[in-house]
Amino acid sequence: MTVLVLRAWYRMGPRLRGGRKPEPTRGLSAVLMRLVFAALIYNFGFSSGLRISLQQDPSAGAAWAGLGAGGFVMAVALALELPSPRMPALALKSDLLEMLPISTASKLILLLGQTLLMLPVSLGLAITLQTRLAEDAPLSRAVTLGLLHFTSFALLGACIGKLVKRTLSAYRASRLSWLSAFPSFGGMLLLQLGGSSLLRRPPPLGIDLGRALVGADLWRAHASLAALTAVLAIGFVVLERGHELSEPVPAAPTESAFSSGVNMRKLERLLTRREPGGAFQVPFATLTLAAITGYLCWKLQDRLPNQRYLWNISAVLALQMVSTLGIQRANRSVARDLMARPLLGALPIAPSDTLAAKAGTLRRVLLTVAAPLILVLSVAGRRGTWLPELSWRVAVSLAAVAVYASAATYVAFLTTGLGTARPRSGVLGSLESFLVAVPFASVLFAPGPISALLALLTLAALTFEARRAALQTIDWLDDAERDAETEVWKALVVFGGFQGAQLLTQQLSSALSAFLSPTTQMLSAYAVAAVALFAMTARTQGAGPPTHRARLAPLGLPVGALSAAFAWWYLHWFHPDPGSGLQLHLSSPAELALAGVAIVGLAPIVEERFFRGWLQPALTSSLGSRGRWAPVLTGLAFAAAHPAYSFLPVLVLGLLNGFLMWRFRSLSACIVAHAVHNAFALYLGS
Amino acid sequence: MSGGWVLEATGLAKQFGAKLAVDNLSVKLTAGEIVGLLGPNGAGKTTTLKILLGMLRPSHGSAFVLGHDSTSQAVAIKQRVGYSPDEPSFYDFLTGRETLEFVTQVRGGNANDTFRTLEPMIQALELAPDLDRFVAGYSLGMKKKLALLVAMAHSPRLLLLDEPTNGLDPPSAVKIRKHLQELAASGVTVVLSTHLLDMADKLCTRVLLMDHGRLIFDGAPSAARDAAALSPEASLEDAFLKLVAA
Repeated sequence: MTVLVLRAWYRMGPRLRGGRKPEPTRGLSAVLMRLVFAALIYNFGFSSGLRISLQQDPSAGAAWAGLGAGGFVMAVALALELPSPRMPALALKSDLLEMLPISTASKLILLLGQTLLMLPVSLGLAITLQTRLAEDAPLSRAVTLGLLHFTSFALLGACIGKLVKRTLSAYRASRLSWLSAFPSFGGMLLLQLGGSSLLRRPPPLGIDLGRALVGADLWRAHASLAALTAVLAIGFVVLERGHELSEPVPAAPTESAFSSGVNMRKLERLLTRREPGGAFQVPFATLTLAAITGYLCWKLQDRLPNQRYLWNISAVLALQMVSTLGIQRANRSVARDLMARPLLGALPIAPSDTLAAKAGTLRRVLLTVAAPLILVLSVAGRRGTWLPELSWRVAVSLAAVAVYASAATYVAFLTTGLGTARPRSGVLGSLESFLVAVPFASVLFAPGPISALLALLTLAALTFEARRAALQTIDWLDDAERDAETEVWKALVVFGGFQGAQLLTQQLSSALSAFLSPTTQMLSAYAVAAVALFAMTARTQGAGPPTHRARLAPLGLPVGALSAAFAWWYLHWFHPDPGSGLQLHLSSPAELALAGVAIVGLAPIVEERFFRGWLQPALTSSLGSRGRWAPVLTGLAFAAAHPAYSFLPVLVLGLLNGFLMWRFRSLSACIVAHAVHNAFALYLGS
Repeated sequence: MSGGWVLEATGLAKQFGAKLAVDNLSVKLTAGEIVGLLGPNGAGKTTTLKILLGMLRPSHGSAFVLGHDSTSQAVAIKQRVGYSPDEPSFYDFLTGRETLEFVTQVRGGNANDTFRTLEPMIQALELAPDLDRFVAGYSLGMKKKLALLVAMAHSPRLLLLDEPTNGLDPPSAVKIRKHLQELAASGVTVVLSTHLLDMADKLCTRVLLMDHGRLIFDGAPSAARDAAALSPEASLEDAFLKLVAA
């Protein structure tokens, strides 16, 4: 993990300093990246299997989870088969490959090779269940089962994809490319639900799979899986031999859509509707979300202990639907301009106009898709006490969806569109998309209205800066030379990397939950991410290292004491609820030592260097004559980056340190003040 | 307009990393000229056209196009100049007609006037039956024709055409050539980059020969033969090869 972080930092450096963006990840970092993903994917199967093994009748849960893991594998195979219009083609699925005399067996091996990244989820589930529920079974049996499971679902995905292309033509199939996201979302949901006690009966077609996974009725279960794999392999061979139907372009409408005038927004809406899948994606996504949310509200309202359960299930679905559709539409929209660059470059179109049209169109689409969230209010009719919380959650979430639409557009513009000299293959998984996805998700799952509002404001501020960065990279629509975003955006992207590293490490360390306590996992994740942030800050800082002025360090002592006093007063009088996931339980000296190193040692150095040493000067120069507001904005960003319950005390520390930096230009004093504040917080916490 | 020139470039240079794509280019064009921009691959022809249109920022020097500075007044230039790129590309799911309407609207014009102006060209290029099809189904030649219509849609006084007849069938190429001559006769200035030296010889009143970003010859096609010390019967291709080799 550490090597990966350092490698990523090394590669990011030139790009964030305004130089050329690096080529796609390759070599050592590519291998490491895949290993980390493989570990994460293994963890999905492992954690689901762990929960299932604790159930009284695990075969029902195992069957659901088995289908869920299969959905993951199937989604990749399906995506490989169904062409996605105007997105960069996968190297192994290119037209060139189709022209070469490659045997069907080789194509089958290629298919399994390309979906191999999903094998760990099958292995994770099979190995965990077998080793826990059939302890005398050899490991090889679990591995064989995992391989059979993976192969059969990969073949199933490929066969469905091929069948669609043979029946509908490749062009029409490309309209359905978006549907390949469903098995993976459904898979994720089933893996979670399989581990819960909500699904007590096995699925009709998965009984044998469930029994095989838990090690019962072994030969019959193995034989049926092997037979299924063989049948699907034959299906693959048969379907591979036929030719795809071709239907290059659909017929155009008889009348021009612009006979009554045209503007950028109308153009955007028209192109979105006409492109493959454009006309039915939104109604389909909206109706699907409405159906699932409505069903859950109707079915679960009496079984759930409080409104948070209902909300969380609905919000997960909405988040997945909105973010997938949002990213896909935003990418497609900017890729379309990239294709039409020779036309657009010669026309007097300001990038701000085209961006506004894209953001406006996407906003309308995403709000339509997210609208079924309102259905959760129907439950409040029967349970009046749920109404206030559900109402503010729906309102603030829809507002977040509207802002997120703009953010997704600007990020797509910066990463795959005209805003970059070297478009990357997709915005999904980029630091930029992560940066905006975190506050978006924070709004939806906020513990209370204040934190939801704070997360919404953070999202809005990030969106504002993303727009500024997008417009700075380009003057006109063929101005491909400039590749420099704003300094503030670069700093924020680095912070997105920090958040990503923290979440990734926490997710990975959860696989070691048998050895590490949740507190140790949380602290270790923070420490790794802090090292990454320090490295990225040191490497990418635009205006050179900040002034330390170590002799002024003692100034931090009274400032830290003042801030700590405010924190004590605030906690004493207001008793904010930190929420279960954020509280540190320091039960051993080792944990206390780790907390000391991370919270009092690392955090002040790393965070001050980033916020006061980089973000504040970047904001000062960006704000020009209003530069004196930079310490306030930095303080707000600093507070927003911390948990919502400590927003006010952290804001006070941020403002005081902002003043210290502005008045005395001493990073050392800020670090000391932060360390004093954190030492006091740790004392209170322990 | 600065000093009556339709186009005036002074000391234009464009650096891409270590490569100097255009090196100290100075040129002045008057109304009604048909200027051929010639040179081997990578000579800087397309880059020059893009700088003149305000699509690229010059590293050094300046260019005034129809009296507007190409760096600070790119909007004004794009509204007035017609440009056809070497490799045209459009929105796939607009029809040819809708593309022309969109372009007209963006330039602040009237679609009916545009189609009235373009009607003879549309008929000559035999594009009328395909105007109501999606561009996604167009061949390269059809896209090239549409790009020329887009460039001429607002009756510009200056046309910058990058390889205008590449990919066109011979009858269409001849019609384009004739049309450009008619436009020049009416006072329109045409700058075209091309590798078709035979066409340049027949069509252009002046050729600019570029090599490695530098302008190595500026004059009438016949003067190019003189500069290369060739007889008047020699082809422009021979003169081109000799001048580039020198």
